[in-house]
Amino acid sequence: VNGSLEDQIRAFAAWNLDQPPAIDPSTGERLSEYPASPPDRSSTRWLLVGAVALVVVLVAGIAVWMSGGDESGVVATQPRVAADATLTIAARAAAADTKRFTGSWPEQARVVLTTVGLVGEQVADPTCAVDTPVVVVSLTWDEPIRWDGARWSEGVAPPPPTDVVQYYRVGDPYDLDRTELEAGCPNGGYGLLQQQVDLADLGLAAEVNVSEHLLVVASAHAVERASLLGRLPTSAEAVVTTPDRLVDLGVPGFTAAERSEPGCDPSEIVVVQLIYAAGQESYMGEGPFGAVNASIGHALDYDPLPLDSPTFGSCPRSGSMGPTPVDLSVLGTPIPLDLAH
Amino acid sequence: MAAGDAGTGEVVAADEARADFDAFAATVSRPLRQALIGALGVDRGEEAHALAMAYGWEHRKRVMAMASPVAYLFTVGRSRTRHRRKTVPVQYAAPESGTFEFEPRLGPAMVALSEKQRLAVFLVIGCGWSSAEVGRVTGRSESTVRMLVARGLARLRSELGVEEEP
Repeated sequence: VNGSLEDQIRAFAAWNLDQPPAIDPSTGERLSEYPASPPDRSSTRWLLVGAVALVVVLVAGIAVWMSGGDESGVVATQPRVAADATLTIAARAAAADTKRFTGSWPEQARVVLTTVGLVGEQVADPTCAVDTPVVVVSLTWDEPIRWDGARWSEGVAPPPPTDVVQYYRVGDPYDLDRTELEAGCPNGGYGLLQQQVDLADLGLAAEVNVSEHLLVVASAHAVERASLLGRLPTSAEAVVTTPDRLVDLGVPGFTAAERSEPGCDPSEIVVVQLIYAAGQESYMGEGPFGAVNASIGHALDYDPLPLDSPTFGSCPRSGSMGPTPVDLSVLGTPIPLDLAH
Repeated sequence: MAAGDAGTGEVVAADEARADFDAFAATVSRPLRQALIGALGVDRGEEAHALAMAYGWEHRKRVMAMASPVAYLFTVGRSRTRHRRKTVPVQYAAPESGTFEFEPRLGPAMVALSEKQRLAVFLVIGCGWSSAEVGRVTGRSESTVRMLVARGLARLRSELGVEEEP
């Protein structure tokens, strides 16, 4: 290798900035892999599907259900939620997550339970068995949207506002430490597939109501927590309140300074409390809170309101407030939510 | 007829909005992508760039009126991919096999820098930004950026076992 360190850094920067786009935005087709792949570049594959976050219990639960159940497994200790309810939660969580990108709520969600093998190479991962179950969610908008699932490239115009977004949630954990799941898809994730796929090729799709936005937001929390806990909550309560109220109450992790980032100016937020069955472990093992796991976290992740506004108060900061036991009634009027229906 | 005229008007307005944003994006996209890849690596940086530009389009009226849209969108891109920091670690492409454009250990050495140092070195040395330009994006003073570059280079030299040229 010749040249000074500075010369090498310039070559290094140019090389990394010159990596070809993974997806051709005009056709949605994969162009190529990176020309030089270091041994640990498996995450590149997940960039291609737009890794976002994911669902431990989703896949675990589905896997257990499909295999007839394993009572010794972590998921098996979760009160059984019907498989179709799990798909419903997944579809709503996908709707909430995608709303963060588009700023608009989808009008319709369709969901299908399929496998990695059937979805194809878009979600292929060397650590995923082809029969690993995945949940694929397709979201559509009646109103114009500005995100078509394809990455941007320099000089490429934004997608036509009438494009339909297809969102695919591929369940499997990234915070995976549960041995019964490791055989499945340890590097899994979920995200936006860069190609549109006809759901009809994957199986019979069911429609899910995503118009109840509080329920959608609560589902998003439920799925995210499930990725950490390995289990879904049984129900939830939500309350619409203001950031100032949380600051005034001194809710840990929620200070005025933390919402001072550019673009973070929600006038209202939704606080979600997830409710688990009595006797279960509490969130992250930080001590039992009794039957109710007062999980007030991620309010800034998903929940700036007004929910129905096209210019919702976006809050770039993502953060969890953790398992903070708070009486929701001091924040407003709690609304009970049945996540399973 | 009136409806048709209205429809034509909407199409024209939409085309104008896209043309305006295209011009804006042509200015902003390149430095934004450099900054995000420099800070976050290729994988998360590309994703952050895509999300930030999508956000820019969504909020184009406000973003296009900003004095420092790159700085703002840089924050948006970082924040919107923050939850992926566990699954998408900072990493860079290795040099093409058989070429000697740069030391293969440079990528891991860059990753080992703090994000502040990595971004400063990547932009100032790698992309030719001025310290002032980096400072505007990161909210740091020029002197701080210069210090970050110097310390970053020193650490890279130490990691790679190279001596500073006289």
